[in-house]
Amino acid sequence: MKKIRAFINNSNISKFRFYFQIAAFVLFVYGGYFYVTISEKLPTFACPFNKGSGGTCYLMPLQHQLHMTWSRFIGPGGIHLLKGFLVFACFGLVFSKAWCGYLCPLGTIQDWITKLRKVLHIRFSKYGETTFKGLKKIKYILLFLLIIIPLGVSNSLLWLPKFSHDIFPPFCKICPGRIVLPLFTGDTSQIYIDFSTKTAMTMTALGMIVTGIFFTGSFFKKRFFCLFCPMSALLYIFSKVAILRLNKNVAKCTRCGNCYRVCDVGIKEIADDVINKNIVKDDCMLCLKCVEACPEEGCLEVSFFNIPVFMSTETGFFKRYCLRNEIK
Amino acid sequence: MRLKDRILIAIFLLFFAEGASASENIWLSNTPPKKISKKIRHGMHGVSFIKGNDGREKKILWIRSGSFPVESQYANCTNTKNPVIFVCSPDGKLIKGNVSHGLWGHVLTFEGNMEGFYNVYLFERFVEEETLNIVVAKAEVLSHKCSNGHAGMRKKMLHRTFNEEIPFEIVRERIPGEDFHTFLSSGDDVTFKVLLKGAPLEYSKVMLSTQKRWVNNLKTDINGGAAFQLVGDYYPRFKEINKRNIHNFLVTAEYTVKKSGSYQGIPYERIHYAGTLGGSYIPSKTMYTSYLYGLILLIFVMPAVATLIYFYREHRKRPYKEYAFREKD
Amino acid sequence: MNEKAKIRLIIEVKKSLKEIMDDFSDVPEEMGYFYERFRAFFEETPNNGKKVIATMCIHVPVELIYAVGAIPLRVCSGARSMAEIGEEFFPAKACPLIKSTFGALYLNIFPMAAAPAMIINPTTCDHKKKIGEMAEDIDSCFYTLELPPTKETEEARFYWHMVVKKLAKELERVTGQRLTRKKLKAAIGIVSLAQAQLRRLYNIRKGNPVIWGNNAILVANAYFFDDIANWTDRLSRLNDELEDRARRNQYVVGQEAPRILLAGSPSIFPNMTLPVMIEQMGGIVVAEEFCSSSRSLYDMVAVDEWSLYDMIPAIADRYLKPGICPCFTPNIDRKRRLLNIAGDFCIDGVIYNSFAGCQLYQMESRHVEKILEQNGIPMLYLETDYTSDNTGQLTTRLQAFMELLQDQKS
Ligand code: SF4
Ligand code: SF4
Repeated sequence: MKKIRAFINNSNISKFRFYFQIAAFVLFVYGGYFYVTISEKLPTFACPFNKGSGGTCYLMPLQHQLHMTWSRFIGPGGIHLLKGFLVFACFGLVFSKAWCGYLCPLGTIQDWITKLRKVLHIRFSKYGETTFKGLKKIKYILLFLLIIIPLGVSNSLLWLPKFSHDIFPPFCKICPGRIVLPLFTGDTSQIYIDFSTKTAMTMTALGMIVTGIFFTGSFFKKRFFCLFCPMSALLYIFSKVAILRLNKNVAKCTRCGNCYRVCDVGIKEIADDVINKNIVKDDCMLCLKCVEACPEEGCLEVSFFNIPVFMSTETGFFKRYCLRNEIK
Repeated sequence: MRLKDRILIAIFLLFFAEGASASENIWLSNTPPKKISKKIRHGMHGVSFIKGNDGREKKILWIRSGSFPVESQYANCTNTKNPVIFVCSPDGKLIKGNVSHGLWGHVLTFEGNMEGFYNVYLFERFVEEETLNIVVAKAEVLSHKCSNGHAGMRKKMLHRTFNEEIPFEIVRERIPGEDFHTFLSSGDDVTFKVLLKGAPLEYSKVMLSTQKRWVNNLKTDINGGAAFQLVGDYYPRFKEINKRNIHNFLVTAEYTVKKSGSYQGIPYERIHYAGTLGGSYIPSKTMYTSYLYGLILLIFVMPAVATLIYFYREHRKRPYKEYAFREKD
Repeated sequence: MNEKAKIRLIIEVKKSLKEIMDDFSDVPEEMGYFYERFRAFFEETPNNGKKVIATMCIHVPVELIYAVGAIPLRVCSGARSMAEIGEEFFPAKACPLIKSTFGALYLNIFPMAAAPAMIINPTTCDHKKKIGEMAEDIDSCFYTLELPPTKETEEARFYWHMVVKKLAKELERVTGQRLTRKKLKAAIGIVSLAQAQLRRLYNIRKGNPVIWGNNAILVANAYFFDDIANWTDRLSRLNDELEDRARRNQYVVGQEAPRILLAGSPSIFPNMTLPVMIEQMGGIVVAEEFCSSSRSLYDMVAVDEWSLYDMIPAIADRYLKPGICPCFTPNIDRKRRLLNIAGDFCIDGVIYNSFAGCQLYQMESRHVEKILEQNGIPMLYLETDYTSDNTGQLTTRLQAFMELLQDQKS
């Protein structure tokens, strides 16, 4: 047992994550061809616009379920909404944000793009602290919009006229996943601008622009899109109570900032917060790179059901970061 | 579908429309008469609902007669007094369907909220002019709510036939990749299969007519199939485009055999089978969409952002950064 | 003057070394190498024509120096004789470490008889800040490394990144070698190997004492001037021996000896009075919170992308973020670190030494004392100098404290 634990703690989880992501990518992008349908309430971008998708991203059913008149909320519609959310919550409660770091196909694509940049030795970008704080709010705004717009399509909000149906489903219309993921099954049909109405045109054009920014953005900034992802905001609800957790033994932290440096999203609190034990922040994707980079024995620790499964160790750190660059 | 194809089909149809049979067919439609359209709740896939006296919601179909979807009358009666109503729910159980006569003509209602296709048939037999008429009006009513989940959807998409009970039947073959969310749209190739007592029927006359009176006649092939391409007949002005505009089509199939016998004591010389199947489709998804512009925009945005970042980085190489203050009080 | 001072320095070195070697028995064999290094403190060692870059503090990124093919040499001095030389240049109550270091610089006396091409002087305390202006008094040129006064803010961090990048450029200029990805990666590699060994030594010291504290301080001190590869190799052998001793329960003192944490101003050879005195009185120094030992090599560089654009900031971060020098404000991390060390090393008491003249350490002692008290750890505050004037008083206070700890322990 001790040996297994030491083995895991000294392992290179990034490498493991790399292969895991590939497997998850195949499952979520091509699984449909093998009759895999994991669930329709997945907290990850398994985009149903992609024919091979092995599941469905929850944002799609969520928007559909919200697309109903007020009266139906108190009836079966509300129950379905609740049921759907419960299923989603179960997924969220178990793996928390690891859906982002380990399973999300769109996240995986971004990581691949990052790999490409690394090979080219082009410098990455980092946001300044204030910019970061400003930008991270966007995901909550998007989440709000993706809830309110479907309601506004089927109801009149604040005595405004109902929104055009062409705006529906609002997030899918601008989500890069809709355009990018089908490309992997050879389906280019999502690349279009719909000129039929002004709304349709705006939304589809926005989708194309966002996709363009997605590609370039994630080339220069690691996990560029994740900072704006409403799914990440939605998953954050569970991260404080989830079974999978990232804990920090604050007394041991030297605030060396290694964890912050390697964090793809750029979460400063991971290094600077020496008060909270549960350290999962709203932008965190539980990639666990920070645990790898922490040289303090047992300072950062991943636990599942309160059982530590992976923690930072000195030996592990040296294995991963130093001894491999021994010089001749 | 390219414009050229469309024109070709149109010309083709113009020639053959001449010979269209004009006999009155009975068919089941899910489109309510215009004046009451507002009182009806419209569900997915054009399914209509009304509230019964007991407050429960029922699915409703209108019995109409005529060969063209729009012009067909909302019938006040059927050919016989007591047609057989046959409704099979998605799980294969027979359920009760009612024919009633209301303000809105003859309607067929039934209850059920299961996921999948309800097969609804109105089946009549009567002798007229020494001919035994066997009339089967069929409708496939898809009941689906995404919130119910999509478990087993692929299986539920398969069509079912009832050879014992329904002697003559038109079956719409599913288009590739079709599921509960698929709307047929113009440009799709749809095959209709005609079955006589379960066996594919060759040389049966099949006619497909659309809302705008496009008509196409075919004879079934050896497999009993007749393949049509749904012709685009929605060309509104640019400002009025509604991509979710649902238009109907109607498929009829006929077949006559010489066979004498007697039905309810009335002798006949031949049997005439007539089947109908209504359906609906929407404008082509690619109508007024531009792949090229999308691609151009996408390709333009990527380097544009990259250039911005490049200049930003160059700008950062300058050593001094000014702090700016707002002078206003 | 030069010659006379040098002779006095040599005498001082010999005396200090002899005291350690004579008074403490049961020393690991591998310590021999380190004693030898100190004995040959001033002997010239070949360095393959590599340029030597002097550093005055642990906040100098030595990886950059290795990467441009030069050798870092820490010139902070603990010699009383040198402090006497430096006295002339400083006010009476100035820090002895600064006086001594400057004295050595003035006389051009460097360990290993090196001739540094450049002296990197971080702006930590006021003394260091001002020393940079006294370049005309000495031969070598100072390079001021602008250390921000705080490490908490992102602004400070980016400022420091710029400073380190600028230093890298300057090093390239001075050595005439270009900084490359491979070289820097290799440099991080060699330093981290040394760090790994030092951390190993600490882990060993967490257990029952198998090495004298003053020996351990000497080992860390040798890193100032020794060839890094040699030092790492020797330390790893020493560690092996110590681990072996621990396995055989061959301890240098019994369980009853109070475990001391030495904090504050660093003991730099030959100024070893304090640890030596403590251990002569029956205590054992198991941990130091010194910028001459634990702090200098403890914190690690973690690089995400092994390209210069990430490696240099990574190195910069390692020299700023975990820093607990009292020159930073606020400096809560130091207190947290002390508590953590006290827990990890089962500390019985803390001896907080501050050089007379180091206001930073002096001022911080109050907070530290308070926090330690709250956690039930007794602390003795001392103010020392390089002179041996007040040894008597020091002895009494130390003795009293040791007795207190021994009482508590039994
Ligand atoms: S890497 Fe570990 S010790 Fe360093 S700041 Fe992060 S949690 Fe703290
Ligand atoms: S905080 Fe740690 S686990 Fe979360 S995204 Fe950053 S590196 Fe990954």
